[in-house]
Amino acid sequence: MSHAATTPLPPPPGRLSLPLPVRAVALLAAIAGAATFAWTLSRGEAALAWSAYLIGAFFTLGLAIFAISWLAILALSRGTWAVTLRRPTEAMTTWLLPGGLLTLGIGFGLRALFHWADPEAVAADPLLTHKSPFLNPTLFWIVVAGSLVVWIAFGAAFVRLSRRQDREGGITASLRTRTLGAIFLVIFALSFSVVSFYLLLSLDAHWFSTMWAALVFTDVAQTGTAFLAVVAGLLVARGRLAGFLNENHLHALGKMLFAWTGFWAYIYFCQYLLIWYANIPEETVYFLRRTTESWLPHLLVVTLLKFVIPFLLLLPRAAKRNPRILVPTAMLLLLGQFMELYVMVGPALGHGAEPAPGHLPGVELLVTLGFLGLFTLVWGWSLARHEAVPLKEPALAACLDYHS
Amino acid sequence: MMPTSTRGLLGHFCTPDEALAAAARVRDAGYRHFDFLTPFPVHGMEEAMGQKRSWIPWVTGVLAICGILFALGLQYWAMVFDWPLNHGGKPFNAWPAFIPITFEAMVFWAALGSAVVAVIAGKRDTIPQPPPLLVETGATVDRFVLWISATDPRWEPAEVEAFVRSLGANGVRFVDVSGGNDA
Repeated sequence: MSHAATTPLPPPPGRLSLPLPVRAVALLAAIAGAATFAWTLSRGEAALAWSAYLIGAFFTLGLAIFAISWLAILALSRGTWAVTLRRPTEAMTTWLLPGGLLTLGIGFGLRALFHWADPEAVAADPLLTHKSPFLNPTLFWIVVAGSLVVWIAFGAAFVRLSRRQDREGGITASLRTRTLGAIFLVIFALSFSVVSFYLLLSLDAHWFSTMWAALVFTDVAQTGTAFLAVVAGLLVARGRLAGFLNENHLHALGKMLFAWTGFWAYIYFCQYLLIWYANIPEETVYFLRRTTESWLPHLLVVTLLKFVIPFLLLLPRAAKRNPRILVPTAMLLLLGQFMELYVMVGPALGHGAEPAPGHLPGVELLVTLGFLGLFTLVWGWSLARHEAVPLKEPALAACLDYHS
Repeated sequence: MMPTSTRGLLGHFCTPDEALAAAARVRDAGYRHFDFLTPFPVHGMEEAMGQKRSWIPWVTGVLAICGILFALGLQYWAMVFDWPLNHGGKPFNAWPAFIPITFEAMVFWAALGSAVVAVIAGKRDTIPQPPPLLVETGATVDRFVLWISATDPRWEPAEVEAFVRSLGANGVRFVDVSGGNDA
């Protein structure tokens, strides 16, 4: 619809920048996270330190991965409602480069995290020997680094096209983003699946799950949408982008968040149900460890934080439109993602010997907050470099006119 | 002189934006028994017409909970009390296996129930005198048709006609029982 085309645009909002206190807190968190990691390493707890590092690195890389796939999905589905949220999303893709490099840093902790990275263990274990053509450090580096390079290239292309539209206007950039987005999503689906196998699934090197890539993508999408919901909610609550962002856009974002929350439960339970029903020892070992003794409370907390509580909170229409409810709910989901990564990574440590017991993930949380702090700084820096709203995007009028 | 068989007045608009603006002005002028027939759902029309939020989501929610309780109860009763069978050594109360059916029952009850209630409520909650069918076929093609019913408390033929014309409507005319033009 086009009635906004006849009404003049609100005054351009200029550029968005992170408030100084937020930057200070983010910097402190980053320093504290780095210190915690170094301290844990220096105490000789390599598995703990590197598992915390993996959780933090994947948590933040997931936000960037979501952003780039979200840009492609919006371009392909012609989702005009999110045009005014494009800049925050584009700024999230900036993390792909620093976050990718930090993720590759896991390579230095490979032996501490992954059973299959230890040549002696592989030689003594027929299953690991059988899987070694795929699960070996050389291929880990090639596949993870190669995928990151491809994602960074596409992310840069999307952002460059958007900038060009800022200067020249017209629809060419939108059309080209659409074409690139279609190509990207095919490559992305394959590369993301394999990267999720390397970084998370192969922690339990004996175990396998055909739901894994879908589950991890759902995690990434749910968390990324939650981050955007926090950003959009705070912008609306503070009246920034007034005239460009309103409760209709929050409502759409809230519905998206709600959808991912329902979908997460569907996928997670799908994986659990099939394994529980078939009851094959090499599959059940994964959930046996996570549903007994010290890990059961953690799994229950994950279920509460990632499904039960946000589902009930986001169910009413008014909740999705109200930043006072949407923002805290999205923050709960971010915490839930941390807990889920902890439940993925933590019980897998110990390499099949005595499994690491569940505990309060203090070190993991501090390191993850450190990564999140660094992510926030990079995000804020990237966001402040350009106009907060793509004023020459042809679909902007439709976005401003969006009713939810 | 206008015949007593007059059902109401219609006029049409060419764009959704004009229709939205007109709806808001009809609402603000105090008319209650009016409707808009549009070729597609016009976003924002409920607010423009001053309609309240639907209560049907509450029906959906209650039916969803009923569906959950029904399915869980039925499975628990059948699998634990009425006909317990040993399936691969699983406990009789094998709750993970009950979840898919519970989910489907919830969707089934909520969706079908809401559809039925929506149809009944749509019959009941409509304005007292909707326009005769096929009175303005443009509404299914490219016209946004405003209908003001003669039952409206503020109905005053000359005044309504002048008002609708002032909104910029085209083809303003009174409609009688047959759906024909009697002005």
